[in-house]
Amino acid sequence: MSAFKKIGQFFALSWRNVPSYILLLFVQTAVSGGQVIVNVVLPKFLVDELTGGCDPRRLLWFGGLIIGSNLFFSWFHLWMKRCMDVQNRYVSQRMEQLLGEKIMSLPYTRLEDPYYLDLKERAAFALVNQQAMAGMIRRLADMLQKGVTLFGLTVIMLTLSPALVAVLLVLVGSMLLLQMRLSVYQRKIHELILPVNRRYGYYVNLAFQDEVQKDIRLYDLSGMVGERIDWYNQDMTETFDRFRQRHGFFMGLYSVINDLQAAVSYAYVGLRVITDWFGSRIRLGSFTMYVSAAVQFSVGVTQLGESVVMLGQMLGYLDPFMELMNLPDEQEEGQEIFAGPVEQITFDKVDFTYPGSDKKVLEQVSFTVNRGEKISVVGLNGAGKTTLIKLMCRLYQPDGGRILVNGKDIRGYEFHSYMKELAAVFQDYRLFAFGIDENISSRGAGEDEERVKQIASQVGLKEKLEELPQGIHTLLGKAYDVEGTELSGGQEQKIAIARALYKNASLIILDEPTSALDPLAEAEIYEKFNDLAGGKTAFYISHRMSSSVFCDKVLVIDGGRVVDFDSHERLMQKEGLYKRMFEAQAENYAVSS
Amino acid sequence: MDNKKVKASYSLRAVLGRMLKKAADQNPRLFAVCGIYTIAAAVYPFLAVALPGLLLGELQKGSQASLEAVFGIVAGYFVLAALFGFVRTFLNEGTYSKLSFLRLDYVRASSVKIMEMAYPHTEDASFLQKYEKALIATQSNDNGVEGIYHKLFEMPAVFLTVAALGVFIGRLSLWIVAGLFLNLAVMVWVSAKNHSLRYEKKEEEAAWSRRIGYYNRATCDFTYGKDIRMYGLKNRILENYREQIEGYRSLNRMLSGREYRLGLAGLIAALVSDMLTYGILIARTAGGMSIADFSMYLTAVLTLSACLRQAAEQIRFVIQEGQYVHELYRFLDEDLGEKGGSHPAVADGTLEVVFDNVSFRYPGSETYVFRHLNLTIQKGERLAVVGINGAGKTTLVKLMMGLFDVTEGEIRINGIPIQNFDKKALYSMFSAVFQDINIMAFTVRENVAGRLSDIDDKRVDHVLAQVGLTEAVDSLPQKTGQMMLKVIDEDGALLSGGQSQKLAIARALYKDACMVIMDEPTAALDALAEAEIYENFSELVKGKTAVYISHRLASTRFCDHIALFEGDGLAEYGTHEELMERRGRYYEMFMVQGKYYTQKGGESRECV
Repeated sequence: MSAFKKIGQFFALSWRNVPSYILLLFVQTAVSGGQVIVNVVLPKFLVDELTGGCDPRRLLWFGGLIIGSNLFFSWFHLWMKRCMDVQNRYVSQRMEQLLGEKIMSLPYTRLEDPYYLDLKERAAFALVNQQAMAGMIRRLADMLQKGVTLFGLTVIMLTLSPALVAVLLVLVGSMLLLQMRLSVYQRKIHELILPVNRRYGYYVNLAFQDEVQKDIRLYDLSGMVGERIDWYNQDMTETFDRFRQRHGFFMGLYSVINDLQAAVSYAYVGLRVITDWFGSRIRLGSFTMYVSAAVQFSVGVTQLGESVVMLGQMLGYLDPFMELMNLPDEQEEGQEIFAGPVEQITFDKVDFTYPGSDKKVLEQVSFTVNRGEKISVVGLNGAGKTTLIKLMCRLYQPDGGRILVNGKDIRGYEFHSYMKELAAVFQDYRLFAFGIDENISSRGAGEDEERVKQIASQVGLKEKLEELPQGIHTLLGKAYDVEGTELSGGQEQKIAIARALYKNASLIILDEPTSALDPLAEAEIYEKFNDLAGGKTAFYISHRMSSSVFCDKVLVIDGGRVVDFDSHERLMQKEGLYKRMFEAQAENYAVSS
Repeated sequence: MDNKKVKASYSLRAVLGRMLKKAADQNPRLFAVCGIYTIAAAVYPFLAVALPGLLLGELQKGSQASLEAVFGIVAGYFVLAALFGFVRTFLNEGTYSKLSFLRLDYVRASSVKIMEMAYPHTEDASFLQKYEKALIATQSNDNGVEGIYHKLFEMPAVFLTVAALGVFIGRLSLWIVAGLFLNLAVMVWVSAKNHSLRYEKKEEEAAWSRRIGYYNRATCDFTYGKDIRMYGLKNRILENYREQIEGYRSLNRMLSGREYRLGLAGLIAALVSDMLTYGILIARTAGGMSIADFSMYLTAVLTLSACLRQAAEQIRFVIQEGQYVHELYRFLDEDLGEKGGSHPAVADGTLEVVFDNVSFRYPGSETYVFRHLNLTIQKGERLAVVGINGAGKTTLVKLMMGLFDVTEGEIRINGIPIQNFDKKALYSMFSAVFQDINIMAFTVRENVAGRLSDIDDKRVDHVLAQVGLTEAVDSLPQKTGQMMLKVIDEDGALLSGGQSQKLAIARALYKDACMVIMDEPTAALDALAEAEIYENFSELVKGKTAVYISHRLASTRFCDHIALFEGDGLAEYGTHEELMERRGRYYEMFMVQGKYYTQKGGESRECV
């Protein structure tokens, strides 16, 4: 029954987004159903006339009718194709867009959960590679059409003999049983092959991945990867072959029953012509009609069965898509509009564990930062620095404890008003295929261009912008438009920093903002940043210990706990993790050796 | 026009010949199977044509008709149809995977080709575009190589049926056959015309697709999630996305409208053909032909018309997809610099590398990275290469390892010009560790050894111990046999950044090549992990020439010489002490970078 629910849900979704498409499908269904009936009935009159009166005018008339109906239906299909070619593509793009919209509306927490990453991959695969959406709509329309046709054919055949219908239905029933068996098998194989395909894809993609090309050549890895691909080729072929053989056997049986149906129909209708065992005799024209009705009936039922199986399959493929679309959007928990600025931020015994993991990333983290303070967050890889930032940005919720801003739990603030006061440059920041100006302002073009330019030159982009023919309006990246410009990692990082500065938030966070910059550019950003940030509260994360020297206080995190929170000078006087880390790097910079 | 040129520019015959040869080499049984299939599939449609004819012939006799004859005809039909139908269906389906395998083998061949071609291609953004068709040829079951194989399997049967039905109907009336062919010709013309109309708009279409594809990726890629939320970009992106989709729809509407109008010509041809068929058959029947023959010929015409369409579609498909396969063969045959010269690797001892008046610019770029660079790295020397981003540090080692060829001048390794070396031999002489750490989804030991078989496990254990990974690896359930990453095995092991880099160093140690190159191996690591890597360094380079690249100057302290690169090449060269005394760029950079480590905190605060 859940299949019906799924179809209903899916229909509602399509109806909301592309109603014209659904309407077109119904028109197509009705007309195509009519076509089959017309093709069955019309020849009867012609044959009757040919075996009977042979009146030239009537022959011309019946022949013309057949030719005319052929013409009409050909035209109709041509016209339909015109509409559907456009619509099919449009619908699949709109569905992909819906998927994108949904992903942008989900709570961020989901986006780092591997389960949802996998779900998304599967949903996108179903949409793009398996064309499941289009397939499903087509099958659904097909089923409707076959239903209408079969109804008409049954009515015609009942006028001849209910018994024939019954016999045909028995045969059809056995075909459906076969179909069901096939579909179970097909689904099993599908489940089996999907992970194999994913793994296979991994190894093939290795060959095309830019980052590994140096390794592949210098460590002569092409042999290893090639061997693995070959292993999968053999393995997949073997698995598939077994399935195809079995599948072929059942399909063969299927075709045999199909022929049996035709044979039974011909024999029965033939007997009706020459004997009166089953009722009064019929004319040759009726023979043609009933035989063709019976054959069409078998064909129709077979196709209906196929459509049902395919529909089931498509529904299965679409499961991940529907699951994703049914996830709740980001909840607007807080009500209170946050007017800013951030005067004080306090972590109060915050605990945090990533969903699906059992390792506590943050444990009893407590500290307070006041307006205007510059804080450096220091710790080894994996200590929980970035997690801390994500909690502050409300990308995750703490499991225990509270985060307070201006004395109130941040969950109490309305999300967007809170985010307005925050700006962050994440380690894996992303820029968009907009103009540089639009990337910095995060708004449409022409937004306070002077300020954009000013900030761009403050972060050291001035010279680069002057080089570019379209200056600040230059489109970033070539992914969107080949006319766009690719910038270096360092330049992109500067744009990301400019974007955070432009936002005019009272709390600014930089998570390894200089990793792609060279020492001089790095020093420049550090030295300038406090100026640029002005009275804003700021958090920095960096592996360069030297960056903490600029800061008012250093928050030292080790294994998810705060081990120290003090100024650089004071920390250097203690024998602790901070001093060890600082000296490990400082050692190499001693001026005289 | 363009379209025709493309079609004419390759030999379909050569492509098909090579494909058949491949099939014959890989699986000769396929030909026998195809033969049986062809007989079954060609006979099958005739049974459907014969049945109504024979039956009607008998039924026409009315009460004189013989029951035995009727049952005989139907039973005969059933037995034959069941037999041929089963064989046809079973063989077609049962062969599918065997044909798929032929494609998969080309996937393997293309992958290996990509992995072995000269390195510059991998950094050439237009490379994949250039060979796009070749790569598409192996991507799906339904197109390219595999699509053609499936069609080649089915085509003989269809052609046989067409020929037989054509003769059968032609004996009654050539006009009917002529009508069918006219219809077919117009259909082919319409589809070719449509194709070229679409082709004209190909670039416009590609541009729309690319823009829509971009938004699709940006919205569906989870890594964009943080910034979209942080900077409130959702609505803005959706609006643009929608605009692109609507724009693409308008273009499609226009194209489909044109196709529709052209299609009307096809309707006229179909009408003519229909009129001929029905007109002639009705006239003949009115003139005395039996109703059985009428029915048989009508079925035959319908079958022939369907087969003709199928045959035309198959031919069109093979010609169209043949282009892709042609491109695939061109790609596989092309010399993409995988071999290089013929000189074997330096057999023993370490390397001396001489840059003799080397100038270099990247292919397609105007600006030189180096001009007239002269630099000698002596045997056993440890050289630190420092400089700001974009100064050409990485380029230097890429040239040295033969990943790129110099534009002018010459690089010599132990006196032998670098281009004389066989590429694989050349690569075999370097143990390199890079900034980005690429552990692949193989087991620990396979990752270290870089191969699947003949792994020296003692040596693997030894190098793991050297880099201090023994404990970490022993804690894995399968030890060195543990699969890495989660892609292949959900229980695969994930290492931390520092551990991964150690594994990369273990790989370099296992390789034990003549010379060691480290390209910013600690850029992504924390201070303590970095210090540990530095410790491993001396183990790795023992007795070998080594180059260490970094934009952090600290690493220079354990090197014999320092080469500082600036915008146009080598700016300073000497020992750390010499360069510090010179008070040039090196000194300046060192002071800037070390400033906050060396000065006491209080002073530096003033800079804030």
